[in-house]
Amino acid sequence: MARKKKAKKVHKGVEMDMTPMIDIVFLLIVFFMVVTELAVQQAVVILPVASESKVEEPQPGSRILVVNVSFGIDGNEILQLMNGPPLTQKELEIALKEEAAAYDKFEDNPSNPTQKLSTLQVTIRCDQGAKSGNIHKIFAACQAARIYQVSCAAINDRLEDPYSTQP
Amino acid sequence: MARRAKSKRDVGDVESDMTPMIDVVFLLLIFFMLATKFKMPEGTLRSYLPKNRGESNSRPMMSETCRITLMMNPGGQVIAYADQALVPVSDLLDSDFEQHNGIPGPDLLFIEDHIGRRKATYVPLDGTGTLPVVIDFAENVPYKYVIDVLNICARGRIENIAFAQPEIPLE
Repeated sequence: MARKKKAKKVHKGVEMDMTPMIDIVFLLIVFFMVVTELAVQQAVVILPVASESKVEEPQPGSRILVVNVSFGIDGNEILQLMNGPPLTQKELEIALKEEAAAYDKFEDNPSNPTQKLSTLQVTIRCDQGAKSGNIHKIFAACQAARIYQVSCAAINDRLEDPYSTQP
Repeated sequence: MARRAKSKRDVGDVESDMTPMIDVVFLLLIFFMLATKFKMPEGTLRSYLPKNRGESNSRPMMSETCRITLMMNPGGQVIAYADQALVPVSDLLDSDFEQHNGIPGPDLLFIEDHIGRRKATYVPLDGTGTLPVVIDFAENVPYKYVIDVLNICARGRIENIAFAQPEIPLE
C-alpha cells in the first residue's frame, strides 16, 4: 500500500514546462503584428509587371521621392507626392522644386554649364490601368524642377490576380 | 508554529492557470497569421530624362530611329505601330489587366521582333551607341502598355530610349 501511494504522488507531480512554448508563440505574435498592415493607408496602386525591372537598394545619402498615380473612390485618377494630397501638374512641379531646394544637392550639367541638376531621384508608381498621359505630366514637372533621375516602378512577377479583391 | 508552517506550504502550492492565456495567445497568433499578406518587392525601370531641355530638337531628324506608336481606338483597344507596320492584335489575353477588361492588346512579340531586327541592322552614324527607340503614346493609353514597350527595350539592351513628349512651352 505504501508503495502504491508513492507512485501516485510522483505521477501527480509531473508537469509540462510551458515557458518555451509561450516564448515562441509570443515571438510569432509580435512578428506577425509588425508585418501585418491592418489598414491600407497608402494609395492602392496595381503596378504593371515588367520582367526587366530591378530591385535596387537606395544608395546611402540619396533621397527618393515617390509619385503615386492611383484611382480614387470615384474612379478618377489621383496624382500624389508620397502620401500627400491630390495634386495638379503645376502643384506637383512646385512641390518637386521645393523638395529639390530642401535636398540641396546639385551636380553640374555637362551639356549646359550654367545649369545645375538636382540629384534627387523620383520613382513613378503608376497604376497599370491609369492613363499614360500622367507620365507626360510627371516628366514635365520633373524636368521643370531639374530632376532627371526618374524611374518607373514595376514588379517582376505577380502571384495573384490583383483584381480579384478589387470591387 | 503549526499555523505558520501551513501558510508557507499554501504559498508554495499557488499556481496560475495558463489555459485561458494560451487560448487567447493562439487566437491572436492565428488572426495575425491569416491577416498577413506578403508583398512582392517592387523594382524599377530606369527612365532618366535628358539633362537638357529641348535636346532632342537639336539632333538631326534621324531616319534610323525606331518609333513605337501606341494609340487607343474608341472601343478601348490599344493599336500599336512599329515604325509604319501595324502591330497585329494578340490572340490571347496576356495579362491580368487584359483579362480584367476582356480586351486583348497588341502582340508584344511582334514589337520585340521588330526592335530586334532594327537593332541588328542598325549602323550608328558616329560609330557608337545603340538603336534609338522613340515611344510615342497617346495620352489615354493605359500605362501598362508603355511599361511593356519599355520592358522590351530593356530586355533588348536598348539604351537610347525617348518618350515623345507633347510640346511644352519654354519658359
